Amino acid sequence: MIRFEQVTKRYGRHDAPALAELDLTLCTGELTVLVGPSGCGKTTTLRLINRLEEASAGRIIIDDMPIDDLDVIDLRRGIGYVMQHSGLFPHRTVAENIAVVPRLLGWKRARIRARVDELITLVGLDTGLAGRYPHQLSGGQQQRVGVARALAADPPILLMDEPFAAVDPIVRTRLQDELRSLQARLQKTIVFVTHDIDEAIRLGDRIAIFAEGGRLAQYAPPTDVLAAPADDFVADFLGADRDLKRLALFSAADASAMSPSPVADPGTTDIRAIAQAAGVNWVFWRDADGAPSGWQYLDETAPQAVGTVIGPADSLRKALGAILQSPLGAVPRVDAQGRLDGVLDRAALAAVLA
Amino acid sequence: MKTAIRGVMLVAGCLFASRALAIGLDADGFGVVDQVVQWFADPTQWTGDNGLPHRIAQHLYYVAVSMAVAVSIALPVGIGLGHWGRGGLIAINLSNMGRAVPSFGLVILMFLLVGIGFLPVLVALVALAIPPMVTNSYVGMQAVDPSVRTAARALGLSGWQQLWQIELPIALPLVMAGVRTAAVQVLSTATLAAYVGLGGLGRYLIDGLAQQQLAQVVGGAIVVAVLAVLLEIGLGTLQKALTSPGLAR
Repeated sequence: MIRFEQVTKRYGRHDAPALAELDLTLCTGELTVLVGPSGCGKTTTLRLINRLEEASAGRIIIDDMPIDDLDVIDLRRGIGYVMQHSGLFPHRTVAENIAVVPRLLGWKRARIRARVDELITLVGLDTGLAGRYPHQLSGGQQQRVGVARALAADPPILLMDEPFAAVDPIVRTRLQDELRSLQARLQKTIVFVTHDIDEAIRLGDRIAIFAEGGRLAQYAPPTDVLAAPADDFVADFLGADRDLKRLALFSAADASAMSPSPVADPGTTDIRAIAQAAGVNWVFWRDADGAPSGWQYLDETAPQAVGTVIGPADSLRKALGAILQSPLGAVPRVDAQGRLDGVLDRAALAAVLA
Repeated sequence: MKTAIRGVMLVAGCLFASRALAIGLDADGFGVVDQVVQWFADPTQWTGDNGLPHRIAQHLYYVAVSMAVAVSIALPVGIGLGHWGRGGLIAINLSNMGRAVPSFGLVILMFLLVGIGFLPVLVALVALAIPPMVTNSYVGMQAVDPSVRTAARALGLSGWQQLWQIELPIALPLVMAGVRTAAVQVLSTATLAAYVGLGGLGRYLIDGLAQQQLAQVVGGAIVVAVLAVLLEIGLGTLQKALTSPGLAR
């Protein structure tokens, strides 16, 4: 747990504070995203944790220990740090870069070598890259090495300062996905700074939104922030497509399907009754195994191909896209076994957001 | 490769100049080139206190001592200023002003002040060698990527570890460039030692001019030029051996 108590940071004695009386508790094992416009104090907040900056007032406590009571070198060796431009040491190979902290800690040679190999694989790199120098790597590879270096001595805390901002969007999305799966396995306490609200929502267990002048505007899980922005600043920062972003955080399994759903099983003769019960003029057909096999208007004689099917893990944002494309304004949802278990329409999604 | 080409051009230039001189100065039609060849071929040239081996050793001794003193002053100053990022402009301007002081004048001045001996020459050579080394090492340290410095701090390297393990190895090519420039300048300027009664390869130049023996002058100049080229190549090789392949672009 990392606790900020009334922390203020001023750079010049008479300047406006970069961070004003911050109270914030970051939970152990969670990924907390600090997000906000430039100059809002989010990077300062991050750098206060490993004392790259010193607080002007207030104190920061890690697991009941005020960080000012710790030796700054020991503190930093116990906290991983990843930055925007990898910050890799250009004169050292990939393996040597990853080995920096273990070597400082005096690990045995064999242990270091084993750890380096383990980490290179963990961050999704080829072990053949171990002897390369940073300038021989792509931007995405450099960031992976940066992450591996930060994780080398298995620190419980990982600080990430806009780590994916300088890589192209496709690589960024992949790195974000990998960070999420890495975090699911490692359960580190991660503090992640970004100015990209979509990245914050994708990655954060909780997000802390900072406003200009170093004011913490809201601190909550992404779904709560999107559902109930604390003030106009947060609402503006989230953007006009706030509800779309919220939909992306729900899976199809979270939505209640149409009730009753217009679904006909093999052998059904009166599809009109089923459709009318649901208030529509069409039905979906289910085959003998329960899988969706097609759909049919009441005044037509043959079913049509089923089209897009939404699985239980698909996001509701994807479901909305499929609903907009369907002539029926509805999509079939299947369960994990592929059996049609309901039909989602616009109202079903709106109910989730309500 | 570049240094080798430069060396060849230098030697060729000396030969060309001696040819030109030969036309003007050599009355009996006996070419200076032939005289120079004879000068080198004379067995007495290779022994004794005025022989080439002894003069070369003297010369290299002046260079080595001057460079040792200059390096131990200039590198700490340049590297320190670059590391802390303070006072760099002042130091560079001061050392550039130092560059404007003529070495010859400084030798004479020091000679008048402290009298005969190695000291006046040492002061002049050290003053000559310091500016390029201060400037280059300062610039080299300043050129270290700030994100690399931040990373080194954040990973928990101590101040000295940041300097020795990260900043210096990255700045090394520029630091060494300064050392190479200074060393070659000192090697050619060390001929001034002969003006104040010392030895070294300058003896051939001074005595040759005084005795109107052109072959001796040209011969001495060629030896200095060849030594300069060898020194440059040697230091270049050393630099390459010390520099991480990761810094090669």
